[in-house]
Amino acid sequence: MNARSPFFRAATAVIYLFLLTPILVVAIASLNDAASLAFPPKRLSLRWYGAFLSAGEFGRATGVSLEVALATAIIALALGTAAAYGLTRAPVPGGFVVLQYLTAPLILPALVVGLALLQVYSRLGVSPSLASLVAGHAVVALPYTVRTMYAAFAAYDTSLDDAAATLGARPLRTFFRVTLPLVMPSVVAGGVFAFAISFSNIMISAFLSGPSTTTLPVRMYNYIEFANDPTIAAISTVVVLATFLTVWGLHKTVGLGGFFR
Amino acid sequence: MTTARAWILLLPATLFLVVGFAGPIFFLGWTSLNVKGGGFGLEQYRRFLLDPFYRGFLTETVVISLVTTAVCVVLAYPLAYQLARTGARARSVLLMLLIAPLMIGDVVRGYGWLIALGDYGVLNQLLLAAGVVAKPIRLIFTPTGVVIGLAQVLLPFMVLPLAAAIGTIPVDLEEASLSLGARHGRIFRKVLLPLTLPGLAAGVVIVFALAMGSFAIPMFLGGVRVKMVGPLVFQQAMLTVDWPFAAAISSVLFATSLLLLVGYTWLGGGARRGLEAAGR
Repeated sequence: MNARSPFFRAATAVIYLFLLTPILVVAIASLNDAASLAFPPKRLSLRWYGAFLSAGEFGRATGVSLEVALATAIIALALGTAAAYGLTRAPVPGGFVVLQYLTAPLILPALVVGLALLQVYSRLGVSPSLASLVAGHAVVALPYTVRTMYAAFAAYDTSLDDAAATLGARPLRTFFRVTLPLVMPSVVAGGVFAFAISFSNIMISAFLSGPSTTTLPVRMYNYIEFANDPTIAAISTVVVLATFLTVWGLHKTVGLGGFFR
Repeated sequence: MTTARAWILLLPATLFLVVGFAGPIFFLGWTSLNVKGGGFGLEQYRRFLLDPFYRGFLTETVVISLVTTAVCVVLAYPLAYQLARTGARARSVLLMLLIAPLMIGDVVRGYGWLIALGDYGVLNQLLLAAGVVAKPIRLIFTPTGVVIGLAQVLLPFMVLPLAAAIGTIPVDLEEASLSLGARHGRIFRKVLLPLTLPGLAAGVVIVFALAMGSFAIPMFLGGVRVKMVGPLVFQQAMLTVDWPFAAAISSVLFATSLLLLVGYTWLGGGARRGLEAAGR
């Protein structure tokens, strides 16, 4: 078979078009001047971007989402890096099971995690706050950092650490001055992915967001329930552009190899 | 490093998941055993699994998830092949276009599909203008619409492990079969398919499990017409506020995914490889 054959190229193009359809449609709809979602737009305008910027509720929700995503990425990175280092640097009995356990929240439904945490919080009398929301997000983000860091440490050449130790560096110093700088690309990739997972999350937030901790996806969802103007399309387009820029930045700096092994 | 030190490093993450994941799931299971008016029993499970109305949700969710998985398999092979066999530069562009939608989130994508597939959405306006149909075809609030949305959202999870599997097959193998007179279809059946089975299995398990537990896409594209378990859990928990029943439905959903995952890990050592390949 030949990946360069016209058939394969055409098939790839069509499938990519399918993959990008909702994103392209949202971008076009955001430029529509009319309040109804007519297609194709009769007149173009940027007024829905203005609506996004001037509506304080969306600004607040964006702030909440950014805060939660940043905290989630930091916690997931710290816990995930330590665990991955432990798993790869010493023979741990049942290490495979531990790895499966730490990455289980990936495949097991996040919806169930959200509901389970809500019931525990309610039982313990924990009211919705940024911290209670971050805890839920960190559960679903942790597997991403564990996997990325596990792969990075597994491929790491430990003779470099031995050399540092021979030269008199203590383990902690070796880790922070030698090991960590060398796996930094994976730290960045894992952190960005954890951030994105949290920023776009709806399943956990739908259960754990409170009135003062409404995240952007929840706010958007609630808005769509009763209004049908392109404000949401404008917000979505901003999110899409930011995501593509981030992925492109990752590609240019640390590479996307971590997603393709 | 000693094993004891390794355990100290593993402890924070392990404990965090005990408190934030395993513990709450057990509590959920306990809640699901509560019976109205006190006591314990399987009443909630009986209601979910035996009442035809609620069992319909389970059946429809399984059917939609199976169809979605099948659609993803068909769409993923050409993409994975292209990704694995193309030059480094084109590959990174393809990879970027595959990963970015993954990070964008279900609300944006669900909303996009709503605009694309609505009664007067992009697709219908194009079809009407071209004179292909006389009146709009109904796609949203139908199982077909949900399958379209889910397939788009979950496709990368099928492509990534498949592409990794194809990447490990030497091109020589295909060229040898070609020079021996095998046709493309036969090469796919006799060479590519058998050698990518572990990657395929990984993709199938991930996509099916994520489709079963999906929530935002069925809410957007299925509304109340398409009966899926994810939205039912949300509705029972947050609107009806029947927590024991919501807990029972969630427990069934959770047990299904767990069984799938454990069975798969047990059967093939490929789980680890495939999942790592998926970047998940």
